[in-house]
Amino acid sequence: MPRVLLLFARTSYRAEAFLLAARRLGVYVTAGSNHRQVLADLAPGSTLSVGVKDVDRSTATVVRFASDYPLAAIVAAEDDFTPLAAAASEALGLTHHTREAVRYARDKALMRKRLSAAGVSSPWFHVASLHDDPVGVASKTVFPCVLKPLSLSASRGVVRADAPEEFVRAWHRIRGILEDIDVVGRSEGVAAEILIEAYLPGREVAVEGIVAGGELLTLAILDKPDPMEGPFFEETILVTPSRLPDGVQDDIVSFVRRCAGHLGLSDGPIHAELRVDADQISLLEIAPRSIGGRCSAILRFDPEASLEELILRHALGMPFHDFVREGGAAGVMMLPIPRGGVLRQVGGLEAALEVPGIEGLEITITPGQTMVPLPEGNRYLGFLFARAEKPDQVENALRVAHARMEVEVEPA
Amino acid sequence: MNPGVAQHGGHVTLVEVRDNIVFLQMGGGCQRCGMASVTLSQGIERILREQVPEIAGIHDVTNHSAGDSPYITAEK
Repeated sequence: MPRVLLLFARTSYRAEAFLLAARRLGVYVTAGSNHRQVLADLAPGSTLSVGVKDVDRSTATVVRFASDYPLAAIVAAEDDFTPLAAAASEALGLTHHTREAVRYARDKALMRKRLSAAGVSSPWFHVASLHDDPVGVASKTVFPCVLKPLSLSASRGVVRADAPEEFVRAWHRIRGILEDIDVVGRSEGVAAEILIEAYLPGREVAVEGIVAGGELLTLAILDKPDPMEGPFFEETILVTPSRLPDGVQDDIVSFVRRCAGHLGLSDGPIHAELRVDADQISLLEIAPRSIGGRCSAILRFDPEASLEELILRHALGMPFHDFVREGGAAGVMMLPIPRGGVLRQVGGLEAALEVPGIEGLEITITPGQTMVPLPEGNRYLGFLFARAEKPDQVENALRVAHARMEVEVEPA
Repeated sequence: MNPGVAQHGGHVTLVEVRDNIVFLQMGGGCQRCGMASVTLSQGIERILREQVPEIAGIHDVTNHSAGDSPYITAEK
């Protein structure tokens, strides 16, 4: 029976889904994490403690481990572990995106440079250090723009600025976020760099896929029906299938395929985020991993398989091309944090679950915990799931159910 | 196993064994912990299956949503 090394962050939402998928496929699992399992000594080979920062050192750890427990595949559940998954796969000759491709895809500035050099239409951009004078940087910037710290992921620290004074305010706010998590103090390099790029108007969509031998298999296009115009870019609703015209969807898939090819993403999951404005399609990012949070729960495939199972099938060289997304529509709302403070309780859960189409609700912040909204925060209140015949019904169910919830927050 | 999970403020209770299926309940730091599924499948289940090969399955009956002191909280 083959063995797969699954790499999770200690705070992963995805561990359970990947473990379940591996169980369904009947493969041995080693769970690799930056969290030492408390029962590791009693169950040798079932877990592996590896860090994310020193990739070479962790790669050596994985290679040593593989000499005792041969690995057939290495899969990273989240972004942070993709460099290690790529490097260790390369060292062991396993199927994965290359180390170089992962580096290009994860670094927003490198990605922009690479795609521009390949002739892909891209927004204007430049990179500055947070140690620079923001007034001087603003004077070289065209507005509206978006500031994106290179060391943070998702929408954390991403701020739109429409004028120089907003730019400077956003700059200091981002600096505060990075200082809070001690990025600026530790490094003069990439960690303290900020990508400044043109604000891209239009609707936002996400594309989920698996690249196999350089060929992209698109699994889903997901609409983001809430306008994401800033100043912060909190994700809320994702709905699939997309309601965009078929021709636009075809163009989106072609565009993602080109971008993945230019970045060298050859073998593994991808999650792309794009803006669509009339005929103009622009890439926000293309990550060498699958969709984050609990969102993968809305993607089910026939015959009966999860997204995680398809990812493992690809990594293990098992057939996966014949799976198609289940019929009907599905969606998820990443429940926004209404304001900062300490969560007291979330009411109206039963009423939310009674809304036709709602099939699940999970509050992931524990009462008593501090909640921090964007751009400083990096968590959602929870996840709300819906399934119905049509995308409009799904979106409506999510909005109605969310309106029934009452979030009580006390000052921190 | 309990001394192990107690390092993170957790505990595991055997609820019952029925038709060779083991029903377990997790509490303390394990309840709602982001890594509870890993502890269960990669630790508890491996150890139990090795020591009691007749075990046909293991079910976690914990109400994780009710946990108020998880050792690790999942993040975005």
